[in-house]
Amino acid sequence: MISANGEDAEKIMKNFSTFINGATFWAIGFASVKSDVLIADTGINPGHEFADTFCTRIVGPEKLKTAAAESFYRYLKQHNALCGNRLHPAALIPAACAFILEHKINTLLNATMIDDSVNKMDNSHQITLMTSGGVRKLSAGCVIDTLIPAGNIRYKEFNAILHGVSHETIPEKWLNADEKDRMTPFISPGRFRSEAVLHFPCPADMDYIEARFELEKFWRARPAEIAEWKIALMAREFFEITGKTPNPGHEYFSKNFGDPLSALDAGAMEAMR
Amino acid sequence: MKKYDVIVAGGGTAGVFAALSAAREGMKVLLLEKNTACGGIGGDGAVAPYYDRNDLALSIDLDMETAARQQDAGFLLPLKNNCISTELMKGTLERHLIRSGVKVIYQAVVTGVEKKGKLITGVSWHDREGKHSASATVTIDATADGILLLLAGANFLPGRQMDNARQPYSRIFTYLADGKLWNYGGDAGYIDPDDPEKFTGECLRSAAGQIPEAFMEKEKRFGYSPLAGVREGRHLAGVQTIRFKEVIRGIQYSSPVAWEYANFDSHSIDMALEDDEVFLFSVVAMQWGTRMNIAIPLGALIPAGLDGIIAAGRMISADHAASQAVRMKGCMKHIGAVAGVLAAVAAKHDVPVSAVSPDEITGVLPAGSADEMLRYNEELWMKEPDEIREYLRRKNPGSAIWSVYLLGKKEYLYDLLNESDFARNHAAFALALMHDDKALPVLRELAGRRDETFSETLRNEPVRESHGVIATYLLGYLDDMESFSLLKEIFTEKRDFFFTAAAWRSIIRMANKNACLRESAGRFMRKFLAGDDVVPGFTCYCGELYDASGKIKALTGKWLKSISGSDRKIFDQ
Repeated sequence: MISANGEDAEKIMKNFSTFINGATFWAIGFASVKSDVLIADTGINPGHEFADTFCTRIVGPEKLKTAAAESFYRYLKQHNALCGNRLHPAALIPAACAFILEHKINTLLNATMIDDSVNKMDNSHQITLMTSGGVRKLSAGCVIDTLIPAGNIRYKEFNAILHGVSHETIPEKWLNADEKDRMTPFISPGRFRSEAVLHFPCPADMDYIEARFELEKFWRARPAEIAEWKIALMAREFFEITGKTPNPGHEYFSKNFGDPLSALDAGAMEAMR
Repeated sequence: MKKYDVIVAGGGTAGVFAALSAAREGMKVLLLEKNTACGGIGGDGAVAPYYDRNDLALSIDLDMETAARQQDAGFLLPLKNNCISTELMKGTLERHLIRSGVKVIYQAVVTGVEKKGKLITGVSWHDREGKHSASATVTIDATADGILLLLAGANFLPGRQMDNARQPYSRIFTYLADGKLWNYGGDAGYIDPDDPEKFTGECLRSAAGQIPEAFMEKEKRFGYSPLAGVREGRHLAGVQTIRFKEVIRGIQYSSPVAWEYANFDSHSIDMALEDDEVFLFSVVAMQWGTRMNIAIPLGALIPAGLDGIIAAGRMISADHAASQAVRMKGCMKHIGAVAGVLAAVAAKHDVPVSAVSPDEITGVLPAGSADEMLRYNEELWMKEPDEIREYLRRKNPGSAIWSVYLLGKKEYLYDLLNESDFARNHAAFALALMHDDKALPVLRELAGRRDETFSETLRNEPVRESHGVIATYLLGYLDDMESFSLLKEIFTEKRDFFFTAAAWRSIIRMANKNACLRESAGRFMRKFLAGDDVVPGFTCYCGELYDASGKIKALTGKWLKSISGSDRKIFDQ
């Protein structure tokens, strides 16, 4: 496909042994270990699945199994993005970008996988991407999807990052220390005293328009005990967790790991297998 | 296949208003947005202020509605007063779209167009549910980067003539500023949507480069925008094109459907590599900050050679230099609304979009008359010789240099050449614009002593290029053979980026113009390429050092290859 003045709207790219859909923490963990991998993502922000859902809690470093995850942990720590297991979520995207550059991971942002067909002759995958420069085609030995597909969502929340004086003022009943029983809205403290995240559970079929509307309505009517807290940003994507069935490939869905370090660690582990 | 009257691709600044306007005309509208919210740079981009006018009635209403809602919503308000919360704006837009009957699909990436000859009849897209397509009587490309137009086979105009560069972009994040919300929008480098690999590299490099030594609570960050803050991407080749050289000389387009009100807000620092007219107007005449009314003709929204598709957004038909101004939020909303009404008129009457007259675009036309707008522009320029001469004597010459150039009155200037520095230098710059060799002695002197005098822009900020740099550029512009050795000397000494780039441009320009210089200039430039000389860089707004050596060497190589062909002319424009 060539535009009238000769600009290519369709190009062939080099082939890769593995193609990963989603510039997620699982994906970058995997590609930091294994070579000849291409990661593509619709957006421009790697690590969006935890950054844009405002993840504030990470697993402790003692639980990490790979050097890749440990180095990412140290990087966050060095840059003052951690306090214990509490995370400053805005650090995730630039840190993920730095990780990709440091590990020379082949990445294509602003690129959406729009087709994946298997060549019956050699079982290779013929991938079609829609990019800012038009259509790109490539072949890959295998494809891993790290993004949760529509449907089969077990749990979903629409979050907001809050700014206040100190999360020490948040009444206990709003805090969900172990983040279990996520049935009603709750707040989790961030890395800084003035930083917290509102978790707003919602039905699996709720869309962004409705979620934004309901969150604003809920927040406008919030009780006086948390009135001093203000919403800075609403999430740019839902935080979701799938059930194991019927979701083939669920073990690669980055969000299912619950936090960026666990996801990165799992991706790196998978690559070492 | 589902059938819509109008499909709008892109729910950003222009796209939302295109969808709303078409729906209000009774159209069945589908809006496809790649991200998870509408509003574009004024939504997820978190850019709250207007750089230009916000004069579209519908936009004013939505802003007022959001302003009323934000009083007690419990949201962090924007740092600057009178700004609307971009977070709450997303909800406002969604409510109006739903109420107007617009079907909105998020996370929808357009993947193709349906065509019958030159007529676009539908759109295909990919979303979380999979692949889809729908037909439409009219399609509006509001993707900012013109991706639908690209897929439809539209023609595009180049970026900067010399290297096709577009303006620098910003890697936007939101942060806490004085207890309120603000966005960081410093220039982050050059980006090119045509090249996905380089685009990716820039996105990664810029975000990684923004990591502080330590994240601090006082200016804590909230999040990164999902939008690359691209100021300039593709430019459609439209039925009519807004051209910089016409606009700065007061030539306007008849029956405008919108007006931009902005200065030519170039974020480029390497101005000596810009199109000639940009340097002459913005640097030599010091008009970087001059805001003017720029007429947007209907034809700038209509792609040449295609039907059934309309452009709405910063990709409309404006050349690279004009697009420095024609890209601001207020104007883009207006253009979106115009596109929506245009689509509705074409669909209702079953006529090509190019057959719709500007008179038929009702309800969204600018409030001010064309006469008023043009009168404002007229008043920007001085007419009286005494006023012009008085301003030329000042450190801040206002619009005097361009005014006297427009009048073509060289006689206002000659005796100023005998006065003190500012008067003399400014007069020489104005004479050079008029190709008058009487400017040469002053220019030679300024370049010869690498003069470091700086004038000020209309905004009372120092012009980045010193008088010596401007003179170095103008000596080439005037083709001053006597200065050729001086220019090579300036280039060789690599004093700073600005002198070096201006000398480089002049040497290339003169060699192009004079066959007798070409061989020696070619030798000189080959020696430069073969050597270890480094062109000094400069610091971008984001604090990164620009690789001027890489850029100048690449351009030198390109020029050397083109030296005997017609391609070398791109270095003269």
